[in-house]
Amino acid sequence: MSLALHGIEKSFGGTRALRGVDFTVEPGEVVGLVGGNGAGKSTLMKIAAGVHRPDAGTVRVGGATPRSPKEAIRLGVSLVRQELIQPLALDVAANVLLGHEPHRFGVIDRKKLEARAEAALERVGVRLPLRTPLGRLSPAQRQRVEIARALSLEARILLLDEPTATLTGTDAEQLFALLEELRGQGLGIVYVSHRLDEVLRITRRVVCLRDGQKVGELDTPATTRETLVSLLAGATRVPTTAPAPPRSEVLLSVRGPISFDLRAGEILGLAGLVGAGRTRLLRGLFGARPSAMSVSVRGRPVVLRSPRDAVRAGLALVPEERGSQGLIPDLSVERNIALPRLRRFLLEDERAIAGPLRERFALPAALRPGALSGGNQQKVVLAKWMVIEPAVLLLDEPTRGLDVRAKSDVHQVVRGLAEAGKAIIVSSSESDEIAALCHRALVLRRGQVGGELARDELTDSNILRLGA
Amino acid sequence: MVRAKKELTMLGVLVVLAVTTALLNPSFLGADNLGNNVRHVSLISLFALGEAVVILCGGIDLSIGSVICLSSMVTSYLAVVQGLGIGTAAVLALALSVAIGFAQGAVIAWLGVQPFVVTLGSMLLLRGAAEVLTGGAEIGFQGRFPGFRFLGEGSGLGLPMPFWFALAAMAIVAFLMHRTLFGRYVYAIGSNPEAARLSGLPVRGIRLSTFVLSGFLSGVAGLLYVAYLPAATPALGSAYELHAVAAAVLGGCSLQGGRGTVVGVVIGAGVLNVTFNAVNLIGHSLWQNVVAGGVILVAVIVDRLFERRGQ
Repeated sequence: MSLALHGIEKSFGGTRALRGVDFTVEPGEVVGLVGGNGAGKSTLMKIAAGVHRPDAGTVRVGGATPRSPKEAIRLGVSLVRQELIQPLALDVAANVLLGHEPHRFGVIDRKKLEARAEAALERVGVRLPLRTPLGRLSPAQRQRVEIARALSLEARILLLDEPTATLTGTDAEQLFALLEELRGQGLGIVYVSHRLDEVLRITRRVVCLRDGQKVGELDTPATTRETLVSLLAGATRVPTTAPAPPRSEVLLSVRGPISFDLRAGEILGLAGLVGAGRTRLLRGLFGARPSAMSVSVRGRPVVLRSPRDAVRAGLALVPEERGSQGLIPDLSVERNIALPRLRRFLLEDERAIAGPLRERFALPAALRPGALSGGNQQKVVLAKWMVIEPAVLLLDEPTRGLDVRAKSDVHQVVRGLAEAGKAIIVSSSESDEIAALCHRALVLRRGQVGGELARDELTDSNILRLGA
Repeated sequence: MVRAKKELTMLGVLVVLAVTTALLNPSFLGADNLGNNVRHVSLISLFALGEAVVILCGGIDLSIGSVICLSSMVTSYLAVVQGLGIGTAAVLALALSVAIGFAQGAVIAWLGVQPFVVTLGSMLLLRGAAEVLTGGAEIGFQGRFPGFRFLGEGSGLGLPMPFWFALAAMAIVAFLMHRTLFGRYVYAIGSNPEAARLSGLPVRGIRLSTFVLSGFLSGVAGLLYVAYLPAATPALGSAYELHAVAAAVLGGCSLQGGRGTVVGVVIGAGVLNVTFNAVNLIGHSLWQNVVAGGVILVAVIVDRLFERRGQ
């Protein structure tokens, strides 16, 4: 039984995630699916698994078309997601057979359940305590449980989305061995990954996506890493006008697993694939999660145990999720902006504090942030920090989900702040953004610095080369 | 202000309730009955204000009824059984109430245990402690401490004394919530704790303070109850924490935090108490809880329907 997708089109909002993609898997083969951030890999897999319906094009499994995840599973297509979403409080056996428990009149037959779970786990080559809650297992073990679950549902096609993202080296090796064994049993396997070396090693064919289009389908044995990188990166874009040169004063020094200095007026890019540790680094710097870094601001060592400490030391973070992490939904725009600046017990005049910035960004006053567009919401978060004049600004995906105009607005604000002498870190999964804004960039790879790029080296292919 | 709409609606409901009750039973407007209504609304408002501040910050305090009981019990016990001065006894009882709030707040803010669980535990523990303290018996003032009793029974300018306490509490809490940094932080944390934390707000300190305030106001309410009755009984304050939650919700507070006003809570306390009183006066006192529960459900359902239409 094979899986065949033809001419798949899919849009979310105004963004076209997939444009006419063809993709097939035959029994007994491992096919690689590669592409940069946002190329459409996960969307394609979700369509194959019945999670999303395509806007146009066909999905055929054997002779049928799955219209829901349930149907896809019945037809033999199972998706093992990037972030495993499993009920962690339930035990191993219950997870393997969740939704397919053997029962009599609604009473679960525990004996049969455990026997079947054990048999499924045996097929994926592990012995796990059946009654242990899943939450106590390692990511690798949880992934085995998920694969065992797929096999117990008689999957013939296995879709693995970034299966090694959370695994260590040896765990990954064991997974590769298992995949080879399952392939030998006649399963068709799709291996989705950023990691080109892994794809080159374990697949027979590779399909490359870029911006929602298939840009290549190659026989793996005849393919090199360089070929893949050049396919995925596409045309190198010429950076826009150079930002003003930084000043000499060092505002931020970071030492630890990742070390760097940041000068006044400098914009440092943080590039790397999703999951490379960019957000972790920024949140660690900001005291929002524990970290082993030692930090100095303006040459003075500071201890950052909480965001409160970080704000006092002159740092500000524009978080990844502006809605859930950046804005107070029940306070007006003005009160949101003034919030970090309030110091005295008696409330100061918030209108006077927020007014100038609000006007500069052309934001309405009394509205709640929920009524604003994404671009304006991001400006509220930026304005909120500008009222306290931080020395260092940390921006995590500052333009995610914004349209072209809002994006260039935000970029202009960021450039203006650098020219005014702030030190800025911009983390972004879009290499365009890094190239447009930054003086230089660190490319992160599995929580470490994969390399550093100067302004004239900030290209897609360089970032992919160091990050993948 | 768009915000005031909910409060105005509930004020309308309160007026309609009062007028209907007065028409059905004119004794509603008798001086005694009105005075009692004012006294009870004041007492409920007092501890409901503390509950509301906790709720606005995204928490909940289920220990209020037990703190009221313990505060009155300790006052009575120290003054009557141990023979301390009534003033000293009252101050010690208040200090104990504040300490209880502090301890609960510390466990919630620093250890991250859910407020529901912590205050549920305290609710049982503190009521039990009050019973143990007196062997389950009632401690009456036996005609002593007239000055202290005046705070509960007496009147000033024609209104029951608890009214003046509640008025002062309302003024202070309204000022705190709407004019100070503390209040702004409470709203911000209740509305989105993660964004508040990432904005550098002292989330833990503020959470803790809301429970201290709630403990203090419950303690004061306990003193006024014992002064009014004038005796402390182990059953005093049973289910009062739920009345407090009801008053807050009727007054427009969201149990998810971040939404509601001080005035709304007082109006909510009014609606709750007049409902109780109305059922009694019409002569079906057994139906008291049925009607009060119904009023709460209808209020929140109507509110949700209006909110949907507004979206």
